[in-house]
Amino acid sequence: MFQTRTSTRRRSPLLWWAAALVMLCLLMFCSFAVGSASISLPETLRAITDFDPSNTEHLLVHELRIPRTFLAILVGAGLGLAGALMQSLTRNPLAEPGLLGVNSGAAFAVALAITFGVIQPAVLMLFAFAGAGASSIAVFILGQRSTRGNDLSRMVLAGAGLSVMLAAATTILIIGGTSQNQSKYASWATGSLQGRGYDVLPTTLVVILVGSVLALGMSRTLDALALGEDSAKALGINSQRAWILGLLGIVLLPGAATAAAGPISFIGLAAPHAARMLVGAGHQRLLPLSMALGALALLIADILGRVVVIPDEVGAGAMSALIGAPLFILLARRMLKAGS
Amino acid sequence: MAKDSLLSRYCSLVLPQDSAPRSLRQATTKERIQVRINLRTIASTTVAAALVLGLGACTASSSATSETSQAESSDAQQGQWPRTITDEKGSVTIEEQPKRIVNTAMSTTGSLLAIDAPVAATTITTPGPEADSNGFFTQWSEAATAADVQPLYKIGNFDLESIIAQDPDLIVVSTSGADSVMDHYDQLKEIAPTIVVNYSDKDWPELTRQLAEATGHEAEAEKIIAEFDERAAQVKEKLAIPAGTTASIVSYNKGSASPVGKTTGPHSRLITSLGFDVVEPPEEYSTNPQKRDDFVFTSYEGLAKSATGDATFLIAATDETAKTFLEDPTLANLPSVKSKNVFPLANSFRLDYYSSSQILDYFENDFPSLSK
Repeated sequence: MFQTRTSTRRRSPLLWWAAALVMLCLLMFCSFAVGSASISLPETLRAITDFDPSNTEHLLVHELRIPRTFLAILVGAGLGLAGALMQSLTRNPLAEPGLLGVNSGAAFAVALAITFGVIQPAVLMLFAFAGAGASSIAVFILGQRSTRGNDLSRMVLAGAGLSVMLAAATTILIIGGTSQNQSKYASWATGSLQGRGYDVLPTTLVVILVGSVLALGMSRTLDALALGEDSAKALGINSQRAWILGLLGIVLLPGAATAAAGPISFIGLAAPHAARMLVGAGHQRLLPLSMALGALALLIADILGRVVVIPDEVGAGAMSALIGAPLFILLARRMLKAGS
Repeated sequence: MAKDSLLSRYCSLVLPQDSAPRSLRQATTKERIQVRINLRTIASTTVAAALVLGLGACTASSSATSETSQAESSDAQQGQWPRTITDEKGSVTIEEQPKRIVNTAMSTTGSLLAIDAPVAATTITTPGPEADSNGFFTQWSEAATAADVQPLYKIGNFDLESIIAQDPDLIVVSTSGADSVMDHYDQLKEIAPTIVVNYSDKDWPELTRQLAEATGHEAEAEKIIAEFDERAAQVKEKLAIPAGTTASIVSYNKGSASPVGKTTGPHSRLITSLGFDVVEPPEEYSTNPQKRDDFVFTSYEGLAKSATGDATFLIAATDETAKTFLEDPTLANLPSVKSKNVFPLANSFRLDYYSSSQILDYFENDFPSLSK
C-alpha cells in the first residue's frame, strides 16, 4: 500500500534505535544513582543486583529512584507519542497536549477534586482523566468547521481559549481554598516525580500501553491522512473512524501522563519534531521514535532537576520546559524560514 | 491534613510577604495617618513625654549607646514607667504600662495571653484544623475569647486601618514568619511604640520574658515558667526514659522535603527536658538556602538518613500521620520505625505556654511507654 520514502531513509533506522537503547540504559542507571542522598555507583549497582532490605541506601534506590525512573520513561513516552498523534491528526505542527487544553482540563479537574476533599492518588488520577477527556473533546467540537472536517487554526484558538478559561477557574478554586488544599494542588502541579512511585505506576503503565497500541496501529492511516482528507478517502481511509480512534489516543496518553506526573509541557511538542528531523514523516518510524525521544527527554529533565539545586529538586515539568523552550523557539525560527 | 500545609508555611518564612501593589496603596494612606498621629501626640502626651520619645529615637539610631540602653532595660522593674526596651530593631521607649496591645505577630499571641498582657487585637489565620472560627489558634483560642481579644486581619493581608481603629498603645511586630509586617514598621511606630521580636531563634520562656518586660508582666511570666518547669520535671520523673534514649523531631511531609528539628531548636529543648537526647540532623540534606537554628529542611531521600533517633516525635501530626510514617517503605530501617516508637504531637507547630502545656498533658496522660 502507501509508503513514504524520503531522503532521510539512507540513515539506518537500526543505528538510531541501538543508540537510543544504549542511551536509555545509561540514563536509567544514572537516574538510579543520582539524588539528594549520595549513594556511590558500586552501591547503586549492588542495590539492583544484590538487594538488601536492611540497607537504607538500597531502600532509597528501590522505593524512590527505580519507580520514578520508570514513571519518567512512561510519561515521557506517552507525551511524545500523544504529541506526534496530535500533530499528524490536526496537521498542525504546533499541536501538543498543552496547547489543546488537555493539561488545563486535567488541572481544573484535579483542583475541583481537591476542593471536594479527594485525597487518594488513584481517585485524583480518575479526575485528571475525566478533565483531560472532557476538555479535548470540547476543543475538537469547537474546532469543527460548520460545513465539514476541522479547521486547524480554529482548533488551536479553541484550545487556547479553553485553556485560559480553565486556568482562570482553577486559580479561583485554589486561591479561594484553604492553605492545605493549596499545598496539595501545588505538589501535583509542579510536575515533580519526587516521591511518586508504585502507587500510580501500574495504572499509568496499563493506560499508556493501551493508548500506545492504539496510536501505533494508526501509522498507515496517519500517513494517508497527511495527504489531505480527500486523498485519504480515495485511498480507502475512513476518516471518521480515524478521528475517533485518534481522539481516544489523545485522551488516554496525555491523560495518564498528566494524571501521574502533573502538567508537563514541551515534551509533547519537541519530541515529535526532533523525531521528524531524524527519520522523516513516515509514521511507522516517526511514532515509535517520538516515544523514545519523549522518554529520554523527560528522564534527562528529571535527572537534571535533581542535580541543579541539590539537595533540593526542580520538578521535571519545570525542567523540561526550561530545556524545551529554547528548542521550541529554534523550531519556530526554522519553520518560518522554510515557509518564506 | 494539617501537615500538608506545614511545608508551605515554612517556606513562607523566607519569602517576602507583601506584593508591590499593596505597599503602594499603603503609601497613600500613610499621609492620612501622619495627620492623625500629630493630633494624637498633642492630645495624649505631655511635652516632657514627647522629649523622652525623641531621646528614645536618638538612642535607637545611635549604635554607640546601645549598651547603655541594654543596661537600662535590665534595670527596669515591674511598675516602673517609662522604660526602654531592647528589641531586634534597637530600642524602644514605652511611656506607660500598655493597656491596649495590638499584636501583628500572631505566633506570639499565646505568649502574651499566658502572662495576662492586655491584648486588644491579634492577627488571625484561616479557620481550619489548627484555628477556631475566629481564626485564633486552637491552643489559645479559649484564653483569647475570655480576654475579649478582637480579630485584626488575616496574616498576609496587612491592614493599617484596622490597627489604627484599635487605638493601640503598644504594637508587636515579628522579624520573620508569615505574620511578619516588617515592611510597615515605619508606619506602625508612628501609631504607637512598636517592639520587634524574633520568635524563631528562641524558646517560648525566653520570648515570654521579653514580652513580659515590654508589658510589665514579669511576675506572671516567671510564675508560668516556674510552674511549667516544675510540671515538666514531674512528667520526666514519671516517664523515666532510660538514659541515652535518643529522639528525632520530624515535621513529616511524605514525598517532599520534611523539616527535622535541630538540637538548638525550641522543640528539642522541650523533648530534652523530658529525658530524651535529641539527634542532630545532618546539614548536608538541607533544601533551605538559609541556615536555621530550629530545623533542617531535609530532602525526602535525606530523611531516611536523618531521623535516626530511638523514638521519633512528629510535629503537628495525628495518628494517621504516624501510621503513614511507619508504613513509608523508605523509612523501614529507622530504629524508631522498627521498634514502632513513632509518636504524633498534636498541636505542636508553634510552641508557647499553651501548646507546650498540651504536650505535657499528652506525655502525662496519653503517651504509651516506649516499646522495645
